[in-house]
Amino acid sequence: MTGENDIITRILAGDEAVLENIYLEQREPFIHWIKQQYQVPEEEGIELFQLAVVIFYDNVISGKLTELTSSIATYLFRIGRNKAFEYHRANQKKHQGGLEDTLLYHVAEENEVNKAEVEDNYRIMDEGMQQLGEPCRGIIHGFYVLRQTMDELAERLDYKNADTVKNLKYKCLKRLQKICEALKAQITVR
Amino acid sequence: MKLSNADRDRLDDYLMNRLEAADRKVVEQLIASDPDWKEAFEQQQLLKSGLAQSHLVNRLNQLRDLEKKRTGGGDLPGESALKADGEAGRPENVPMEHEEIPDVQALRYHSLMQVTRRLRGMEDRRKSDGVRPKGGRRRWLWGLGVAASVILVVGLGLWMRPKEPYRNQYLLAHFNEYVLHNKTRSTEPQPGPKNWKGYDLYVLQDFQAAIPYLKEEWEINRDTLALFYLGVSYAGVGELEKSEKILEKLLKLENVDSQKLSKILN
Repeated sequence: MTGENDIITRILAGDEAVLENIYLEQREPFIHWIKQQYQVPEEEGIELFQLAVVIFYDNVISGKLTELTSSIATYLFRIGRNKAFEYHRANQKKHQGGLEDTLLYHVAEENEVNKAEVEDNYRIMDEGMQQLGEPCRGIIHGFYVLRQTMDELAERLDYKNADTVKNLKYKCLKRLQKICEALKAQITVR
Repeated sequence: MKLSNADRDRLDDYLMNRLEAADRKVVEQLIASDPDWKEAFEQQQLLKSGLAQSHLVNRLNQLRDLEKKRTGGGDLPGESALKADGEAGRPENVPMEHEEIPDVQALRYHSLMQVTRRLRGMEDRRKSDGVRPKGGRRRWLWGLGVAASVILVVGLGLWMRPKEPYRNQYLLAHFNEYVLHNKTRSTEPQPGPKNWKGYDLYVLQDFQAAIPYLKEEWEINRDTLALFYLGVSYAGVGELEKSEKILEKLLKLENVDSQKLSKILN
């Protein structure tokens, strides 16, 4: 089983495999539980499990969760219980994209803003970051989301030093802005 | 005048909560007193609290202007310049004066969506690889276990259930012919066993219960009728070998109708 004590440290260090391990280990018990608890079909159970893992990840990277005082399974169950209703409501409303919508709502709520106001921004940023590609995405994500220092990023991404990463970050941000600008223009034209 | 690179970094660190308390106070004082700091801070606050569509368009237009004003570097360098090569560093002609801080919450959302896409990819691979969901396999095994348990319980039940008492059809149909003593009791002394109990149980066709008494009667009193009844009783409970042995004994005794016994053994 994934060592539960170092899960948070590993996620914050940018270790992507740790989430995959959690996914594989916790998938069956969670889906079994949520199906029993809420009488949801298999597909919905899978989406709720994915949502729980993503929210768990978010709680770690946002600094909300710094230490696991219960097992990872218990923590995921708790998220599942809290988010099941929200997800169900989003799913019923939109008939599709319930997970995306719930995540949008989650981030907006945490940030105390109206979802409708930030929806376009968030979607544009999401698309922009996807188009940006590596190494830019890793640098921006590492710096702004994982809150890694330039030194940590230089070490993790195998760059010469912190200054190198700092300069790359600058270029990447410019690039991202351009992409987002183009995406925004597309939306405006429509 | 815009903020210097160092000041931008400080504001960055302030907004990311990376400053010590003392440094935070200094930055807060700068935001309160310096218009450039205030402007930069407010821009970021707008981003963090979520820009409305018009705000974003305005900001992007401002960025476009800034791009035009840039000297030397002009636009972004090519993709290769983004890759570290040991010598990588900011080219001298690339200014860093007006680095904008992106909407961190939007980046956070992107990050969550990235994880979601990765998890969905894993799920899709599971399906395309034909991996039977563990739950399915577990259910299947559970079903198998239940079926095996049912079979076991039914088998044990059949094995342990009270066996149908052996019924010697001929004997039961002709039992009266096998009662050879006088069943009528009298106050007058009459021939019979010393202990009537075996006889009585025999008449009642409770052969199993009668057997020990009849055996005792034969062994102690050499009551040949008790021996005959014992043979019949063994046949009555299905212990035919014992019954046959008794038949062999009876053949040697002239006053017992051994033929009668042989009928129930065939």
